[in-house]
Amino acid sequence: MSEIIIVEGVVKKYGDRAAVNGLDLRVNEGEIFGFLGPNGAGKTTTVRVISTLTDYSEGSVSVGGHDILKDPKEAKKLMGVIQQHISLDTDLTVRENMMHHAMMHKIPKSERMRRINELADYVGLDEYMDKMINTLSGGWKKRAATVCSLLHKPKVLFLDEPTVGLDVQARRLLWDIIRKLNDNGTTIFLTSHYIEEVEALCDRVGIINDGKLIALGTPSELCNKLGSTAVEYYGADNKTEYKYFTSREEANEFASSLGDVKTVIIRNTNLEDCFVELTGKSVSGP
Amino acid sequence: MNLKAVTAAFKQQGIQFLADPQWIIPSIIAPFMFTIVALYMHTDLTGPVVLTAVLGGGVLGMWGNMLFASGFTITYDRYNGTIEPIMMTPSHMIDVIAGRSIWNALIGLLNAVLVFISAEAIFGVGVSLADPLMFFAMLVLTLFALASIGLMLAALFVLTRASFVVMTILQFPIYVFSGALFPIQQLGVFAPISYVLAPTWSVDALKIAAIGHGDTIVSLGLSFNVAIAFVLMAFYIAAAYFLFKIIERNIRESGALVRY
Ligand SMILES: Nc1ncnc2c1ncn2[C@@H]1O[C@H](COP(=O)(O)OP(=O)(O)OP(=O)(O)O)[C@@H](O)[C@H]1O
Ligand SMILES: [Mg+2]
Repeated sequence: MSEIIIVEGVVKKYGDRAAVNGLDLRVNEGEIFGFLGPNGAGKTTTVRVISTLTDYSEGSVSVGGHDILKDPKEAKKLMGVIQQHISLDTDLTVRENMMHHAMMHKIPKSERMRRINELADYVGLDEYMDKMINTLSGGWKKRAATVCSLLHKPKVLFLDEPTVGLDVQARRLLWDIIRKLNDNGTTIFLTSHYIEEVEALCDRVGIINDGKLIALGTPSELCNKLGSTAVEYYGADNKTEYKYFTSREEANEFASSLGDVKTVIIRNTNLEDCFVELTGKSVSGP
Repeated sequence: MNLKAVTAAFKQQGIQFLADPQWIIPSIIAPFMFTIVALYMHTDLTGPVVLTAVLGGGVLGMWGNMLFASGFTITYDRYNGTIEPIMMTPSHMIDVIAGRSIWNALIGLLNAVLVFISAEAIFGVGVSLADPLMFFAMLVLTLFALASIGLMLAALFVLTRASFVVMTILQFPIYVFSGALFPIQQLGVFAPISYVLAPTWSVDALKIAAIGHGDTIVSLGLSFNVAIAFVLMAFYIAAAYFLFKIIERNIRESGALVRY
């Protein structure tokens, strides 16, 4: 499998503070890559750096074999970005926004309408095409932004927290669009702090904290690293504690050794456990 | 420069203008009122003074329109977060601003023509034009002279968040220094400022087309004025291009110009 995004030792500083601090990352062609991290961890900055919207002071980035500094034009052709915030022209209709984007991408006139209609159909926007952006709900705006970012047929699509603020139904619909795109060969780079989203969608997950990659692997690899079985107990000190074990037996043994506790749950370790352990205790704790 | 992007931005600005009628106030109604007031003050006079009043209204209209449009254009993008998606495309910011400026220039032209027609229709003080066709051509030149300054200013507006203040401050100087309000000789020691402004030369060309002579110190005829206006415009456009390059670099460094 070839690597479509290669990030090596990237540092991006805002003033003295490093938002991304020596990041190494490789994304395989055709996968859905999930990028998890708490607020301010550097997810958006990473997406901005790779997609050429922000520069960086150290390291190197290449997309589809094109160094983004030496060959930004070719690299940009391969990438589409759906930003964290809605970035559509509110005075224009959905269709007008798309036309505008298509022209900015220098898509020939003969192809513009066809591609717009095709994609609108793909994401189910047809009925909304002549509505003003302002009158759409968040989910529909995201879909409109999705179409705009796909007009030039990118090979990699970045989605920066795509489902924040969407209701359950809109979120699931967007997940389906993401899956469908991926089935058709688009590599997906998705940032999120919704763990269930990453668990539901992603082939591999990277966890970033304080601008550094602190874990990388498939969701089950990450869980196994921590211990595949979790014991969750609500102890005498009114605090829920978590312990991880490599086997059920060990977990059972530990649970029965617990004396005076109110609740004990033995279950499979999930990505949320990994996330909390990695970004919470083991990183900033003693 | 990418023509497709310029056209797209031109269309976009047109749709926005029509979608949001409040623009009619600064770009059409305000300069119109101004001319009417100026004409009331000058009704007992004839010749060059009337020309000045009408020209003043026309140029003010074009300039006010240009200035506000250039200032607002970036404010609007900041609010909508629409600059960054453009940076992901093969098009440049300057293509976009140029496309919008051309639309704004056309509205300015409409406005100037309205001023001239109403001066004739309502006040009957139509300036008898020595060469009407040339006059119209010079009006278009003036418009592009103003638009090229607008392009340069739009870049400066990106660099400041106080664009409203700067816009208001800049409204009158061009008007005064271009010789549209009164002959530039009356500016005394400040006259040199006029000479580096492209609109000064095109306004003077307008006067030559209207009454046969202008008021610049070096008056070598209309084609000379046109040539100088073009040289200055080329300079402004080059400066704008350069400024936008710097701006794009700053945006990439500071991660700024997203929503605020
Ligand atoms: N334009 C900027 N100027 C200065 N500091 C910035 C800028 N953008 C981000 N930062 C800082 O860089 C760090 C990383 O920010 P980033 O937006 O990448 O985080 P994130 O992981 O996307 O967070 P969130 O989950 O809140 O979206 C934060 O400390 C943030 O305050
Ligand atoms: Mg973010």
